[in-house]
Amino acid sequence: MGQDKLNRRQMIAAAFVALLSPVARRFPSSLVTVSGTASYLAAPIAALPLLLLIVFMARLLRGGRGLGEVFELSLGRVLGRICIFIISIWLVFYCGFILRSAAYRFSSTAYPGAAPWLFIVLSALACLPLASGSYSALARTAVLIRPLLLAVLGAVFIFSLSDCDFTGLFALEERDALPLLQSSFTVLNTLSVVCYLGFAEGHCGEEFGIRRYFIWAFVLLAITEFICLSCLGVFGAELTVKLNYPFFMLVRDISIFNSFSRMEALVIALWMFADALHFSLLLHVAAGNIRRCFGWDSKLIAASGCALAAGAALAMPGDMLGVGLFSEKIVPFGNAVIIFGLLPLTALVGWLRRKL
Amino acid sequence: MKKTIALAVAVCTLLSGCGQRGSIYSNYRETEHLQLVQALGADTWEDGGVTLSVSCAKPQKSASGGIISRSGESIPAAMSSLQKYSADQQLYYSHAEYVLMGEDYARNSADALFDYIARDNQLRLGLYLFVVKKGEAKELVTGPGEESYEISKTLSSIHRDTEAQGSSHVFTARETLRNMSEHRAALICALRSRNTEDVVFLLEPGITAVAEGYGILKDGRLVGFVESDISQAANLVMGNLGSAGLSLPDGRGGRLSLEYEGGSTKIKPQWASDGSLAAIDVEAKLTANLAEPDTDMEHVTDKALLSKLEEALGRDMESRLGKLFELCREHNADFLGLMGHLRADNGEKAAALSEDWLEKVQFKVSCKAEISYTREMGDRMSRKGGQ
Repeated sequence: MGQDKLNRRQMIAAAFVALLSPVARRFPSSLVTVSGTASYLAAPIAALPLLLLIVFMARLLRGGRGLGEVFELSLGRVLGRICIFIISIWLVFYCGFILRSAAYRFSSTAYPGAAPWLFIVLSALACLPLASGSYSALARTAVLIRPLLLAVLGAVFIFSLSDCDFTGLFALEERDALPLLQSSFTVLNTLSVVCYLGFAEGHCGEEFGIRRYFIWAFVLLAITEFICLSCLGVFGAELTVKLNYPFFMLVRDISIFNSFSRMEALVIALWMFADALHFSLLLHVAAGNIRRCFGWDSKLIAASGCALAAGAALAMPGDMLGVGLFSEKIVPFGNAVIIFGLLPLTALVGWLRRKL
Repeated sequence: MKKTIALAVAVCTLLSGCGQRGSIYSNYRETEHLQLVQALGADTWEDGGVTLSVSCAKPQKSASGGIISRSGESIPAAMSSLQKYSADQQLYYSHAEYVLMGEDYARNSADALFDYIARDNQLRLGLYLFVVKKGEAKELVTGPGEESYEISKTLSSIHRDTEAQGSSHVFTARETLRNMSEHRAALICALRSRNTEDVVFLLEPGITAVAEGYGILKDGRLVGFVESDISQAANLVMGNLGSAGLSLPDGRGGRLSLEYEGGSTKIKPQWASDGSLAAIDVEAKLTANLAEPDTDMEHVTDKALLSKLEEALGRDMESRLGKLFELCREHNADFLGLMGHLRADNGEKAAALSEDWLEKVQFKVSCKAEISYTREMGDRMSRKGGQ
């Protein structure tokens, strides 16, 4: 751990780039399915709970301790390590899902008929050096990629504006309230994946810095909002629900001054960086946790984790319904149990036992 | 580090497609082997399937050429059949701009085509849709067999002209799919095949396409047409009124030519006390220019005569709007998106309306017209006044 240090700016860049992967995958479909045209309000509503989550994490990780220490201090060494191990297994499974969904995105949008196993195996191989490397290398990669992805997002929003029609978007009803709350929880749940980086807190040489995370949250919520508004404006709520990956469908129809068009394959390929960062960061966290539990060599663990994740991805159903089930039900449920169940419970026990 | 770089290079090489044999990437295509499909026509095949006709951007002087027509039991089957007759070129649909449907196909199977467009990886949602009134798409796509004929050029010209003149609006697949998803109905630009004999004199006589109002889609299928004279009213409601011309009685036994300048409509629902929809008020505002004023400029200088002309213009548009809403009622098709206005006004009452609300509702249409002058006429007026 001693040599593998990164600063807060790099860590936030890594969190930002990694989260663009689930943001483009889930939004706005999962929001519009529940709350229809009102789903553009889900991100603003999720802002307050997300800020509270950041404050909670800042309180928990005070003094530069990682989540691993939090579990061990609160629950005792044995029970704490059991929890850490379970989370690590979940993260490897989650990494498998990242590979599976990235492969599905490729084969369902830009490369029809291509074999998904090819994308899964090659993605796992390409991510292996990142996953078995250092946190600082991962974070530096994120710092380099972030402006590129932000520029692409900005261009997509600007060039889709001319096709937007917001008629009827602002007519809200009382019955929209509950679905909206459900959608805002989806936003919160998706962005809360950043909490897993709490395990790497010990690698960061700076204090938590709530203000910086507030800015991070604001930018990601703004991106979510723009994705929602663009898709709703261009496709309308009903068509958005019917489309596979509406954000990338939006890219498909963009033409820049009638000179450049059909750029979706390029943008989808660029999103591989976000997938790779997401995958590598989580696998890195899992490998670090297993090393903490058993003291094994983390490079070997990372390589085994890559193989296990690829195996899990190959075993997952590859059709739209199967990927949808994992993307919308199983993975969000697993994350919610850990981040909104296990983590607060552990913190509560720690505070009651005056260990934190 | 060297091993990592070597692995990355190997992976990139395998993915790149460089050297068709060495690559594991199977989707690789050379640009010179592609035939870029620009226009695609769909017609009903006699065996219940579909006949697809394609016009490609760069016709090859091969046996089949760049215009091919084949039939199949389904759209993918017909596409596969087209590919077989495309010699060594691969038909590439990613840059297709226009899709035409024959009337019969649009009436019976248009939903299958829309579904295909929404789900296909190659076709864009931004492509423009047309329906061929009283005819087949194949006739327009394949043309008279002349080498110079290209349907995509004709459609591009129609698109440009109709948008400028406001005689019609060419909807994209995205707009059509969106309207059908939200209102279960939509409009689609209608074309008609015309013989150019006695019309175009420099070229060999052949056929061409002309825009002729709109087709009405309901639940994904064509149910009727908005005729050209009523399409102006539809354009006014949709906010696309261009500068199309019209002729009105001048109040002195002759006729005057006018040109639409702009206009808008306000749609206000009237709810009954029991929550039902009593009526829909449609208030239209319209401005027009005198395109060919009489030589003595009496219509410009005589306010009473001008007022009569404005009333006549208002009545003319009221009549067109009345016929348009009658079409909505007749087909029970909300192709103008009226439900959006009802929802914006009162979402709960709108949601409680029955399926056949359009058939029962009363439309109260009013139109206030204003005729303005061009600057040139103003100058002529001042010169006249000066004399």
